[in-house]
Amino acid sequence: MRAFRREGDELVAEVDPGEREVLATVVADVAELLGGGRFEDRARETGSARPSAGAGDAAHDPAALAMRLRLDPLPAPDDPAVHRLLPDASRDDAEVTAEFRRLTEDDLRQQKIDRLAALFDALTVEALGHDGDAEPGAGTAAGTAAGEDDPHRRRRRSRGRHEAVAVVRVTTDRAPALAATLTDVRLVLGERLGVTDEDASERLEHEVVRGRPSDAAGQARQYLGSVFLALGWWQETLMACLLADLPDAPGGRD
Amino acid sequence: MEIAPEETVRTDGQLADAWVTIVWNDPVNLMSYVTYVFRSYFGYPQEKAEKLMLEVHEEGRSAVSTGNREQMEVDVQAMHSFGLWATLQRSDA
Repeated sequence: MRAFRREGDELVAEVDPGEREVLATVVADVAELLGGGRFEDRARETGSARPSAGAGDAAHDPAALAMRLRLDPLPAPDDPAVHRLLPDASRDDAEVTAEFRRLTEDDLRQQKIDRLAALFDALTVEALGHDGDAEPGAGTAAGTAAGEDDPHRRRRRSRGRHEAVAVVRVTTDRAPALAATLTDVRLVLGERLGVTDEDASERLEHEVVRGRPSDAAGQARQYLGSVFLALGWWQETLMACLLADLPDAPGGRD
Repeated sequence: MEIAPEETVRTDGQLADAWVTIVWNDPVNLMSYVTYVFRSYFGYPQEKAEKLMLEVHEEGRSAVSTGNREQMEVDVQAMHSFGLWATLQRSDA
């Protein structure tokens, strides 16, 4: 995984094929927690983790419309990681929290799932298109041609002819959404890893760098911890690009 | 200091429905990202965005915007979309 850099209207970063697969899986896991189903399944069927045009759109889908017109209160999510992504809007006023959740949670959930799907695609389909062996979107077509029933297709699809380096590209206007979705993924990993304060964060860093866990649970923790830290570093390089792009002119709210 | 209850009632109506958006500290969000959100969403200049971010980081919370309840709900929803932990409350709370 390498630092993001600006190339014209795009922000670009290389990701090794092994890292790409790890990241895509973690991204799909977070989407599943949010109720987005398994991205791999949708990608296998349609060539993209994103829903096809119209699906899930309130204007076309009566079920989605019904969700938008939610009348009953919505309970807080049981899973603390999901609760962190969809937090209470008030600390002490249950009415404010309930009303806010009823009005916003479905939209927020869908927005986060859509952003995760875009990253998943960038890490699987779209990355291939810029890998030197195909145009953008061609990865999708090649995947379809490989056959709908092939369970290894996504694995193959995520491997270009040049396996050493994959390239993730995001246009400037979509970069903030990428930063937000990297945040969501890190929030979920942080919750799972018990990163509840700055001290816990430092302990985790020490564990990942120095730890020599002997049991499977410890190794899994170290592995997730290394993904968490790597994503933090990666997002930091993205923020450096985005902050450099912001105009200095004042004019916002005071 | 004691203030008689009737003295706290505003007559100009300006603050009658004043709410505030609070962003709370968390150990996961990057300082650079929080600064970026305050700059890009609220349009605050770098200096103000950084000051608010440091308040969140060092004092555990910061009031980042004020307005009526509906406006604060919009801001809190935006903060949640960005992955920041935000709440709204009456500004006198």
